[in-house]
Amino acid sequence: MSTFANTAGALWLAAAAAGASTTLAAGTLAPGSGTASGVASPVVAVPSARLVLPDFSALAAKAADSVNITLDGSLLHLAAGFLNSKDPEDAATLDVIKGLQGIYVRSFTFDADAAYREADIDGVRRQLSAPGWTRLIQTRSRKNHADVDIYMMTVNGKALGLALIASEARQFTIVNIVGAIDLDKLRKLEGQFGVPKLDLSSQKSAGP
Amino acid sequence: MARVAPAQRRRAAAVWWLAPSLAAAVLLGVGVQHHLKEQRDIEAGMEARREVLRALRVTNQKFDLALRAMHELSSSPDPGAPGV
Repeated sequence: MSTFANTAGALWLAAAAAGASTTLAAGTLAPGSGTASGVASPVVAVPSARLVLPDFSALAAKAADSVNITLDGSLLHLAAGFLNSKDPEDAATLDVIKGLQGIYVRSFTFDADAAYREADIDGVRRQLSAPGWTRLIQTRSRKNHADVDIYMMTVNGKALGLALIASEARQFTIVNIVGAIDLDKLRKLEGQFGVPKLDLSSQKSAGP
Repeated sequence: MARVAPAQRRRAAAVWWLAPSLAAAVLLGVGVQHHLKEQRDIEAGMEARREVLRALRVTNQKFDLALRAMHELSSSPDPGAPGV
């Protein structure tokens, strides 16, 4: 468990460090700025972590199961009012969504392999090559036929959003979280929601 | 004259009852509207709550998938072995 926590913590630090280098890239000069004083003052344009998700209606029609969740700030605020802070699961969820401005999920499950093309996701991948986005994790699992890419947008070490693209043989999922997401808090939701806890430290010590 | 007086009395009585009846009807309408709006708000809030939990569940599942793949790589006896 501690290894897992360290992994998430290290990723968090890596994202924070990467954020420092992306700030300059995000900085722009405001049009007409500095004309009065003759000195151009840099204005940091804060990029938006909100991705433009394509219309996947054609894929949704082919999919055996699809998830289409769009939660903007007002809906998150509304949902927060219906989470019971005395309930452990709800309290953890409240802690995660506090400070978020949006959660957008598109997930499609198909009955057969190769029912979707990588080109369907290329538009989203292109947006993630914009300044501010840093890839935290890229995994290619032949065993599970699963590719997962996790990106984080950070500016001045502050997380502004997260994007996740998971491509599996019969499923693909895109998650876009806008706002200050804390991976450590998200990790605490493990075991709740039916996601089994990863006890990596004990598995490691049990090995040769 | 004697015929007019009862008619006037009837009209006065009707007006006397009409005003409170209308007020009661308006109050009832407002109350019902308020109740229906409250019900809609509760349903919308509960739906938003379900969606938040569902979205975080999906996110965690995929996050978990990535971390498992990373773990498989780190615990692999042959670091050069393909897999992740």
